[in-house]
Amino acid sequence: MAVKAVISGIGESKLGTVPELSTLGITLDAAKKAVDDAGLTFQDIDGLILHPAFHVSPRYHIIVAESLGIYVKTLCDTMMMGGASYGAALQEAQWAVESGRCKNVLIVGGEKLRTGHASGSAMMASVGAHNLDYEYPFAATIPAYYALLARRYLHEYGLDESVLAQVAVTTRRHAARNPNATMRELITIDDVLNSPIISSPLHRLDCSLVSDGAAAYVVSRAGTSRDPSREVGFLGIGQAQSYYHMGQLARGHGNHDLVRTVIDVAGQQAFSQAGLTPEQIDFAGIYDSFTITVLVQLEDLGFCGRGEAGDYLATGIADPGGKMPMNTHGGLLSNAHPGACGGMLIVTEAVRQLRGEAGERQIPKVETALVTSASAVASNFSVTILGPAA
Amino acid sequence: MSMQNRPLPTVTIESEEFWKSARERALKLQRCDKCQEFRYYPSPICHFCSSDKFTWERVSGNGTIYSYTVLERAKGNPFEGDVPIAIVLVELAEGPVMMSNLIDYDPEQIAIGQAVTLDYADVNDEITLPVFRPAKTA
Repeated sequence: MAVKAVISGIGESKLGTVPELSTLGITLDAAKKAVDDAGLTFQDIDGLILHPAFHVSPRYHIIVAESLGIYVKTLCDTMMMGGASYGAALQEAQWAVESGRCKNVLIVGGEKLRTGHASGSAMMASVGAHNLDYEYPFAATIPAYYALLARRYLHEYGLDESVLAQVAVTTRRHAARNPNATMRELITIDDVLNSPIISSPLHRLDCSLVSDGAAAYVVSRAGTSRDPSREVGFLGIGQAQSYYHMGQLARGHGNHDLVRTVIDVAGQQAFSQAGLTPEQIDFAGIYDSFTITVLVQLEDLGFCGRGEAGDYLATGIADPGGKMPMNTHGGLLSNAHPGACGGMLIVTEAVRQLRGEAGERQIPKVETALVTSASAVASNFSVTILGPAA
Repeated sequence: MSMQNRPLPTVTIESEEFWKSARERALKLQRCDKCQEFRYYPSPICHFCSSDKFTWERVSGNGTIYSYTVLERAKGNPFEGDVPIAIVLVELAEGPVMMSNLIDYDPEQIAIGQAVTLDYADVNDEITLPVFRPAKTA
């Protein structure tokens, strides 16, 4: 019988402001919790995929394995896809387990964006997360990149900034129900539009938080964790990447350009494998580095038409109690954003929802959860559809 | 616009001619000898047809704004004291889209589709950034 891979355990460190732990310390904390959640020990782990932290050794994944006491492993690497790494790592872990190369693959990432670095934006630029020769000299910060995307999006569809603000409003409604979220006070469209401009048209409340934190999950053979009823299965998975330089993204290729991203390709892979359509998704975990990031993904994944994502969210479909609640933990915008690994918290939330362990924000009936990852100004994506393991 | 706090690019084998032409205020881009496409940024082969034969050609300096943002907060970056800075994606008449800055602009007038012309801003003795200003209306 073919081996099926499942997510067997999840873990999160303390999130927000964590001065007492190093980047390595916070990463190991999440790893321990995920392995313990699966009912495994580090002796059971034979694969490790690290979500990269900034300014670390090119052997950081081996250092993490060494710190956890995992001497022999048959897969050990760092996934260098920025905020899209955790989704691609899930696919690689699934392949490793289903091909028989690994029994249990640990995926882990941690970052101290809040108390570890002078500035998240300058840090990402300084390591070349975006181009150092033809973009950063023009004062392109991370918010500026997404602002250029947002401005073009609003122009193409004749929309105003309120459609961006809607994403922040919807997300905060969920964060208000998460006792651990950093920002829990309900906000209005006007609150977003009245918050200071960071890089027009993006206001402060259009931008994700700056946090410390780490997350981890374990991908295992189905039926081998302590409590197989808590295992979560892969229904469909896909990834797609386009270009790096924003000018090249804008120049486009075929039916893709800056505002028409290649996540449609990743989505087609995942939906097709799962045999599902967007209407059949019960929980949407959409990577929300900025409000604009959410709008283009919802449209390119087929949840709504082009230029319609703001109106789509305004219907309440993604609110608490809606047909398809989105980012019920509060996302990167309101819960926590510990750098590139922040999106891993969307996966851990999806697993909690599917297990029925999401507490007061539990969605009553949830059998399908879609999780995306996105990075490098809407050019690198993954889509994972999770559901019951059996 | 204050330019001395800008991060400096690394000049490479591929980009030496590009930065030299900017310094000389006569910007050149690579044009493929085989498919005739202009490309930006500088690279060893054409990303349209993979040919490694190319000629550095001076560009007209005419373009339109594809998108823009005015950066107002840049905490932790070397240029944080220089905001607001208008960052633009300019679609050149020759085809490529460049990230750049808009100078001498009216904040009320800046718009997608606006015609712009090439200008230059010195950062230091070696590096001059190609920037744009609103085109003069006839």
